[in-house]
Amino acid sequence: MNKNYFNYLLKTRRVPILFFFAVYIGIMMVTGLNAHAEPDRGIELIVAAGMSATLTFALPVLMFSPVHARKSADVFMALPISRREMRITSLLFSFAVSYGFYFLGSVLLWAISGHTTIHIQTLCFSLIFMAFGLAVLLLFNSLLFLIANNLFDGVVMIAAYLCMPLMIFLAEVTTVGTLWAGYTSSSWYSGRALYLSPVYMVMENLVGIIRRVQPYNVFSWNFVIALVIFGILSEIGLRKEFDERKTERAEQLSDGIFAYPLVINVYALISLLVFAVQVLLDPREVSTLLLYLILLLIYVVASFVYKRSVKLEKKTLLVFVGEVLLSIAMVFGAWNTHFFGLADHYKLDRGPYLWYEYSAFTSVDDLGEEENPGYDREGEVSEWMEVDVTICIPVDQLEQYREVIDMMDRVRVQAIDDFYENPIQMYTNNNLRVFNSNEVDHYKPINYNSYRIHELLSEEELKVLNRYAPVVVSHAKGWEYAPSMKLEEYLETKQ
Amino acid sequence: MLKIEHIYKSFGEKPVLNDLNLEVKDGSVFGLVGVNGAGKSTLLRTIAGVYQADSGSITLNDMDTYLCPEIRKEIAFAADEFYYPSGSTLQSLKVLYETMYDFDEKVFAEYCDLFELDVKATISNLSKGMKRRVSLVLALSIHPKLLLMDEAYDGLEPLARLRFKRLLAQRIEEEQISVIISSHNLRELEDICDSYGILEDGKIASYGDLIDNRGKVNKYQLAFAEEVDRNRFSAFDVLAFEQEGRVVQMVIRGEEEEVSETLNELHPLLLDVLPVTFEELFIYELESRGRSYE
Repeated sequence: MNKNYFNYLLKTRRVPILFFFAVYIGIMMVTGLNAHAEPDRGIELIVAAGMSATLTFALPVLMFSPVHARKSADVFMALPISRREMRITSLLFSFAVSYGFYFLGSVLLWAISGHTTIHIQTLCFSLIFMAFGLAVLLLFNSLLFLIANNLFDGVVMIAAYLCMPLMIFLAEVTTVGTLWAGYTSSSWYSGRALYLSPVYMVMENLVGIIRRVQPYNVFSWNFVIALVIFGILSEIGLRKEFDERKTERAEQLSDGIFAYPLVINVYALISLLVFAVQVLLDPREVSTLLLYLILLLIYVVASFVYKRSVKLEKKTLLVFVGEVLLSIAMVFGAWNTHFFGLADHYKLDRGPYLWYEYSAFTSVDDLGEEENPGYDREGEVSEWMEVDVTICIPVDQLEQYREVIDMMDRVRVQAIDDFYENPIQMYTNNNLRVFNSNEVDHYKPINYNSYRIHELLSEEELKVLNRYAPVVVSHAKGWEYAPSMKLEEYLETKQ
Repeated sequence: MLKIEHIYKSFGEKPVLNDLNLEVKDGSVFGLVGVNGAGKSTLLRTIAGVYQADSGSITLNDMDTYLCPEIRKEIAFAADEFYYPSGSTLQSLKVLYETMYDFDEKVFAEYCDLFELDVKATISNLSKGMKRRVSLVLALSIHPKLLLMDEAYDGLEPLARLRFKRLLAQRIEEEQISVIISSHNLRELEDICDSYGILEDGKIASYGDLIDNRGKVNKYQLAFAEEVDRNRFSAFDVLAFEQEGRVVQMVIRGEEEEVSETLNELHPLLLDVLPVTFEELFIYELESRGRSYE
């Protein structure tokens, strides 16, 4: 670290920093002093962390903007200080500000009001974790700002990479859910895109430290590992983007591979995958074509922001058309291969317990015959039975439950076949949910798959199932349920 | 002494400095000239450590100006466009120089008086000439051993220029500082530089002592009894040639006495020798290599 440069930063940045500090403390006081209720436990620490995290987006802009303008680069790059020293000093200064605010604010508020609801160990752990988290965020956001070649693009890069994991996650929910039989937002593969978001992981883990509400607020060591990887990669990237930076990049187009070329095409591909799913579901839908045209327009506008030129280049158009074809090929490929074979594959032991939840609406006379609640032809509310069964199997005893597993797997395979036979699914309320859990009370499902089923378990099969777990049957008419009964009681009544 | 050895610098595929070599002695004022896009600013930025050369080395007192940041304390770079954050004053700008260089507060105050600068004035409200003054005052207040001025001398009005020249002469005498000035205004350079270099195709195409070289290039006007052919002057290093009937005007490189003696052997009716200005020297040097001055 260079002491002189640190002093310079301190002298020249003190006004905006003091201003922000006043705002920071003000917001924390308002939130912290008004939040004593249990559900708001630690809200002051979470708000403080949120504001410090926000600072990690703003500080790199404040610290590294001189390299983005030719005039300022002439002054700052000629200073008697190495690039490495300048970078480290700027990062340490930013860290001192963002973490200093968190430290001061959280300790102050804890001393005033938080100590009644938050244990001191929790506070200490949150202070340690935030030191790590804010350092990673500063490294990562600085890198994002520096992959661009001018101030505007730097800010765009930070915003684009901030939103990208969320966009990927949303696209995953909308596209994969349509293409992958059994997919739910709690499947083991779901939400992996959020590992691309350091700010999400930092905040999730902080909430996990402070609140510890199972299963929602859990400190994740996977996130810590991911953040360490982000930190290391960002440090490597910063050496290239700052220490070895060519100063002549200032005010040039941001054409590095991780700048606009990647951002524009990732966003385009995400949108195109969503559109391609619409094409799959209804190829004759005219509005999809309109969506493609709008996206092309957005693509051209994005290319304009990138290249500062309104000229539609042949290459741009070709890349767009290529991405359209690629997205359609990917979606149709996924559909025709049962999501590349993954939908057919189900691993039973991703946790120590395997769960089956079977829920079906059946006719009153036959529990194996589907009857969706609603109105009959005469407009009268129909009459139906609801069959529910939940089975928990320890995975070390799978063989003892082989009969159940085979039965459920038959239903699951049939559901998958039905799913891929018709892209626009027939509506049904009947479900088979399969998942694992770490605990017997299944707080947090792992590997959660949910299948819509049309071919139900027969009464004979339900009898078999009833030997392992109680099958519960409820009679409903006109939206009113009679008290639920056991399967045996139903069968007796029927006779 | 500033020593530049085999410097290469390119922007993408485009080479800008191409095996450039140059030496600037202590206490020398070096005028760097060249057509637009010749690479003058690139060379100055590379010397200042703003740009990293692709290969080669630039040393000031045997220390690499890019690799050894401490030597950059001895270098002041006044760029063509003066940088100041919005809302800044001279007072606030000097914070950077105070913290990063061996800033001399006394000299700073003295020069502010000399150049009639108000330290509390907002820089953005100043005229172009006043901004130039600010840039030069800050540069000189750090006692540089090497002062790089990228067209920073242009735009100063005659009185300020005169003051600056005197100041520079004083600093050169007292501290033996070296100065490199790039400018488009060759007339302004002429009265401040003692040596020069013409940058062309990424190299110093012509280099030397300004007074010596100007003495070695002269304009000769001759009148003959009858029209003469240009081939008769093939023995001379002719940089420019014009002929109107029996009157010939040439710019010839060579010692004036020797050239005049040889020309007299052609028995002209009249022979006049005129000195060339720095601007003419530059133009003739370029034209002799088939380039035109922009």
